[in-house]
Amino acid sequence: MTERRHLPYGLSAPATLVLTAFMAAPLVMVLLLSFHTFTMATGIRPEVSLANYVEVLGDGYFHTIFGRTFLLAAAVTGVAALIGVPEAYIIHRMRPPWRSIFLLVILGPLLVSVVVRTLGWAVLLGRNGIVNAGLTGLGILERPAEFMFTMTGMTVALVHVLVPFMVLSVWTSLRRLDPAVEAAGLSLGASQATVLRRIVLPQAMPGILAGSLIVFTLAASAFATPAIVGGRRLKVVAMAAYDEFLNSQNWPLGAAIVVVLLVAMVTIVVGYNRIVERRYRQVFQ
Amino acid sequence: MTRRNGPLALVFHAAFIAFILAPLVVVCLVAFTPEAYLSIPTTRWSLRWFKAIWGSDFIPAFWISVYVAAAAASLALLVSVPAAIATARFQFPGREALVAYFLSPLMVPHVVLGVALLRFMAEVGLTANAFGLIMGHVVIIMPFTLRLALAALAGMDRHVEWAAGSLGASDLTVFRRVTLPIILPGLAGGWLLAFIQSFDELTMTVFVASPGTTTLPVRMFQYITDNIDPMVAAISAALIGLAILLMAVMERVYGLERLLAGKGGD
Amino acid sequence: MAFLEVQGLVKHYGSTPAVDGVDFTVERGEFLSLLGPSGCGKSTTLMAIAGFIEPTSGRIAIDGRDMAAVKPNRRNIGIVFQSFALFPHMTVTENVAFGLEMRRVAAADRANRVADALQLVRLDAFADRYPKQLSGGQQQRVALARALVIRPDLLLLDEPMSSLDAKLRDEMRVEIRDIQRRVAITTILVTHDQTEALLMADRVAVMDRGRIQCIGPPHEVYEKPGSAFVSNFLGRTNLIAAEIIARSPGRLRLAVAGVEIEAVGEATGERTTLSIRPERVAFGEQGLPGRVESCLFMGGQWMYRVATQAGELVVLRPNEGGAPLATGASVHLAWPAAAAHIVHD
Repeated sequence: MTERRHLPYGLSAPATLVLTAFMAAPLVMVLLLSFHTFTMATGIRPEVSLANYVEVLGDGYFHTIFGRTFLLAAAVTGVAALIGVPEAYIIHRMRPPWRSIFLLVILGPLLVSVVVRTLGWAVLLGRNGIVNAGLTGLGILERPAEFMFTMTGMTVALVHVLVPFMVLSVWTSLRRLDPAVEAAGLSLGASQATVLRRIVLPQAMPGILAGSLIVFTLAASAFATPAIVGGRRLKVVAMAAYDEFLNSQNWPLGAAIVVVLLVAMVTIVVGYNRIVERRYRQVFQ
Repeated sequence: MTRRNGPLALVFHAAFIAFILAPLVVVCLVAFTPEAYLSIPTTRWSLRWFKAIWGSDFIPAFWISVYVAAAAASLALLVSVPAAIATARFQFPGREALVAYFLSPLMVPHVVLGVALLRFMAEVGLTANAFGLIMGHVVIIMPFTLRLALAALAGMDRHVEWAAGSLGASDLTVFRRVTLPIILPGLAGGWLLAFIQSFDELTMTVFVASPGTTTLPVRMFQYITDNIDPMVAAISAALIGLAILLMAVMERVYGLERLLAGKGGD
Repeated sequence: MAFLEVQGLVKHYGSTPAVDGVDFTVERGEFLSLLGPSGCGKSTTLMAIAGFIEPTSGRIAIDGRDMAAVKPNRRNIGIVFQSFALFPHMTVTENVAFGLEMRRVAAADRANRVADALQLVRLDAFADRYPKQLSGGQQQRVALARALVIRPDLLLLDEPMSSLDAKLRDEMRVEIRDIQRRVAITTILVTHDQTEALLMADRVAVMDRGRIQCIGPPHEVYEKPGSAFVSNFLGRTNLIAAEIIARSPGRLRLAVAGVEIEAVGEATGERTTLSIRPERVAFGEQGLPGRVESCLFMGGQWMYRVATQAGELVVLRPNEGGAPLATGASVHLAWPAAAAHIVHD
């Protein structure tokens, strides 16, 4: 029996090794890198300094970028919840063949590269794009408006990329809902609206909260969509890191940016989970 | 349960679906334009942009993506299956922590992983090497292959393994002759999903891609940031067509929604 | 020395004991059933014998050989699982041949033995089917053939009947018992169904809360349950509080609600509890007075509920074609002294 005791560790070893070598160790390297200094003349110098963090946390330029990123993520999460939750409920109430067909339509785009999906928005939102043609053709706008390189454009495109996660998450929690409970609510004299508010919504809440967290974290670290729709003018954190690494070659500063991003994200995820858990402990007691 | 959605709900639903499909449909339409600029063909359709793809550098990028994705998905599965067996079939000290560690790549944004991998490859001297890129992709897709392997194991009656054991089979024989054949369909689904995930990955790859390891999404991204012409639309349309094909296959074999429950994003 | 010996078997999950000191032996060729409610530790005991669960302490020996260091795949034990646990990707033949393959039995011999085993369970016509093409009863026969074909030293049946429908279950009980007798294999059956345990086994061990409460031949365990738990679990019984008036060796004189009766057994103290099976109670001229509260027709029997000073008693009387007693009728209840057993909690 003793050899069986070591077996699970042996079986887990390859996966552990891969993660340690290609995730944990590189992350530690980035952390160390973020304390180094850089000048154009000398390149990266392995001294220990907080200069990069002072710059990222103290400079107005980075404040704007971080502020914009989290504002964008919050807006995307809000809009995704606003349209994703009702859609999930509508899907939930559909009859079997339609339900799977539309789930497929909503989830299918996840199989297509973000670049492709964002390209669609670039075509739609461009100065000579379909949206502008439609709006001017209908007389709503006098001349084409600029959607590309705006927060609105980024929000719309990111909502499109991420809303399937919201629908999926909410639909999963609705699926556990006993259909008879709704009928019971109605039979007790509640209106459809009251049933939605008092019976359906509370039970969908875990799904909404989980979906919001997924959408927020993915939006806050999104790269391709903001880069294509927002461009250089509306830089987000991921884009800023990209520029530092691949354009300015200031790796230590770029490392500090992503360390701050990672710490912020982990703090948000852990804090959010803790608050949600506390709320729910009260609800279920 | 058979209560119908009201007219208002159906209008909302139609608008939502239109929103979901609009950019994809537009890309597909633009791909057939005969003009040299972005436009939706109305009277004349043309395949000139599809023909233009051949001979462009998108073709080698496509093959690099295929190789990287196939290698990464296979490696991820190879390390995930034993790990899944360890955590699903054994109780041992540190099991919970190990599971959390295996799923931890989900917590790290791809941009951070990209930066980390770039630094790592520079330090170790792996730049311009597909191996580093493949291992980066393995890290990203491992949580998904692990989850699908765990699901496949959980969906299997444990007593079947015990039955084989009681009939005289050694642990290794039980795995080879009983467990593996039973979980194989689930693993194949996991491989396919991991392949797609790796094939589509941009954010991490863009940091470490060198001329020899420029994958299709990276090449497309670089191209789009310069200019958008009907040729990228044609490539996109082809990729959408491939995805639809895959979806049809996966829906046939597994039921797509079950698989998508585990997919990540940007 | 008995063929299988289980001594002081204990299995803890965390701090809760699933099995809390189990001792029993099984003779060669004997059929023992472990009977008890779910969670009583019977399946854990069985899987410890099979080697899939490592006991916290205790000794398991087969044919005098300690099993502690023997891996499950070296114990030569045939098992039929509740779910049957057939290999879904193998045909019936491949399923049955698997154990022989592991034992490196030559191909020709293997084919003969598989054919014999399938004949034994009357499945020769289904040799090339896959498990999901078979009915529940047929799947169970495959599981049985697969377990028997390796000529195991011991056959373990883990709730083998619980996923079959009622009619099939009755048939399979008889069939499995016949096969067991024919091949004369030492067998342990785990079940929560008392009828099954009584019908099939040579001896029954009743388990509760990780311990064996009572062990013996079916009729003895049924007639002299020993404890209130066993008497309640093994069929229906009436438990009546009684005062002890006088004792003689093996016999007691008691008072039940003022009526003097005799009972079998020993007891200390002034008060005790009696167990009387409903079918042993008769209506008579004398005895415990009562009033018929309800009467239910069960086909072969009538079931009466009778209110008495000692509480409500259940009485089963055979249906002899006549009309039953009317609700509200005054009756006296009597039973032979040998039908009243002292039980302990």
